[in-house]
Amino acid sequence: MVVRLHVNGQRHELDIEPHETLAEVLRERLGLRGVRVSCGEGECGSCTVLLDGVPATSCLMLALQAEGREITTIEDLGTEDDLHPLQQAFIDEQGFQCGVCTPGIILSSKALLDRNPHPTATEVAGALSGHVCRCGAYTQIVRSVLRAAEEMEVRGER
Amino acid sequence: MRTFEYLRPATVVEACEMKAELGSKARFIAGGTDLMLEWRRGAVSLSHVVDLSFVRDMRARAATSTELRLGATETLGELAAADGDEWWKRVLASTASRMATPQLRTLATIGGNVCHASPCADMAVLLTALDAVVAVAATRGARTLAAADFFVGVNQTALADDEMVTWIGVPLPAAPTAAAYQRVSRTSVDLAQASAAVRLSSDDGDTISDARVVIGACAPTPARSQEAERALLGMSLVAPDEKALAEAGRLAERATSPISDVRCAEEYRREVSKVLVRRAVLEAAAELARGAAPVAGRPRRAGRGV
Repeated sequence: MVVRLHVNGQRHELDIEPHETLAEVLRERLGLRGVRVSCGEGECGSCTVLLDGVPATSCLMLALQAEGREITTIEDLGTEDDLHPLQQAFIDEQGFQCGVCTPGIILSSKALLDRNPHPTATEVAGALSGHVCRCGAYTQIVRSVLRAAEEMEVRGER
Repeated sequence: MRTFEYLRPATVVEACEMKAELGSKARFIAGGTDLMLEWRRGAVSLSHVVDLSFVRDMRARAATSTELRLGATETLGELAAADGDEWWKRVLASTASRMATPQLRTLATIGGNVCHASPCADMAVLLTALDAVVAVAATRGARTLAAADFFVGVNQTALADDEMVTWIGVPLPAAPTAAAYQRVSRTSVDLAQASAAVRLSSDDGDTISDARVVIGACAPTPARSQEAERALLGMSLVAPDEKALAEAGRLAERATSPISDVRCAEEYRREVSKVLVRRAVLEAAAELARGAAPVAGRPRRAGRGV
C-alpha cells in the first residue's frame, strides 16, 4: 500500500505493508535510526516522535494512520556542528547517558518548552512521566531540560 | 507474512458497511494502543482493520444546555488539554490527564477506552457515574445504551459484532453539579488498582440533592452503589458529615467484588476503595461549595470564591 508521509519537513511516498508501524517505517524505510524501539508495547516512551508538535508513541501506531500529520524525529532538531539547545544541555548536564531513551525524551521536552517556555521541575517530570531511563539519569534529565529552557531564553529561540 | 488489509472509511455509514460485509475478523481501529498490542502479541487475528481516525463525522464535540456529546474518536490528549470552567470539562480533563502516558494519550481515544472495557478503564468508571449513554451504529440501525448496561464483563461490552461506538452522551443536570475522579496506582502511568467516581448536584447550593457513586477496578465492571448515593443525600457541602461519609464508603465497597492480582491484594482494594469514595465526595463537594460549577450556557452563580 502506498503511504504519503510528511517527515521533518520532507514529503515521502512509500510502498509499505498495512501492518507496518510508524516506528518501523521511519527506521527501516527512511533510515531515521534516532527513533528507538525498546519495549515495542507503548510503555517505555523511547519511540516517541512528534505528531503535529505533540508527543506520540510510534511503535503501536500504523504508519498509514500518520498520513496528513506533520512528523518530527530527533534528526530534525540540530546538526552535529550546531546542536539544538536541548541536545547541548543534555550533554552538559549529563542527561545523555547510554542514549536509548534520549531522542524520545528530547522530543517530549521540546514539545513541553514549545507550549511552556518556563516549566518548573515538577512540570518537566510530569511531561516526561511516560519515559523510562534505564540508566536512571532522571535527576540529570530534569536539570538538562531546565538548563535548555534558560539557554533558549537567552538566545531568544522560541 | 502475517498482515492484514487496511481500510479507511470517510463516514460512519461507510465504516458500518465495511464491517457488515467483512465480518468478525475485521476490527475497527482508532488509536490502536490496545488492538495493535494484542495483534503483535498474537492474541487476536485480523483480516482487516477499519480505521476510524479519518471519519469526519465522529470527532466533533457538541454541548447543549442539557447534554454533552463527545465524539468516540476524541483522544484522551484532547480531553486532557480542555480548559474551561464547566464542571464536565474539568472532570474529563483531570481524569484523562491521569491515564497512561502523555504520548499514548495523543493516540488513545475515549471510544477505545470504553470498547476495551477493562475493569480498570478510567473513563468507564467516570462515564458510569455521569449517567452517560453510549451511542452505537450498524448498517441495520443505531441505538443508545446506558453506560451501566454497556459494560457487561471483563473486556466485554453489549456491542454486537457489527456495531461501533459513534459518540458518548453526558447529561448535564439543571442543578449546579460537580464531579470528581480519584484513583490509586503503583506508578503514575500504570493502570488503576482502584478508583472512584462521584457526581454531586445541589438544588439549594448548600446540601447534596443528587449523587452518583461508582467504584472502578474492584469488580468486572464499574460498580455503582445506590445505597451509598442515598447515604450522601442532604449532606452539607461545606461541612460534610464524617459519619455519613464513612457510611457511604462502607456501602459503596459492599457493591464491589475485588480480586487479588499483580497490582495488589483484594484486601487492599476493599480498604482503599472506601478512602477513594471519601476523597471523591470531598473533592466534588468542595467544588460545588465554591460555586465553581456553573451550568453550561448560564452565568456563574454569585458568591464564587467564598
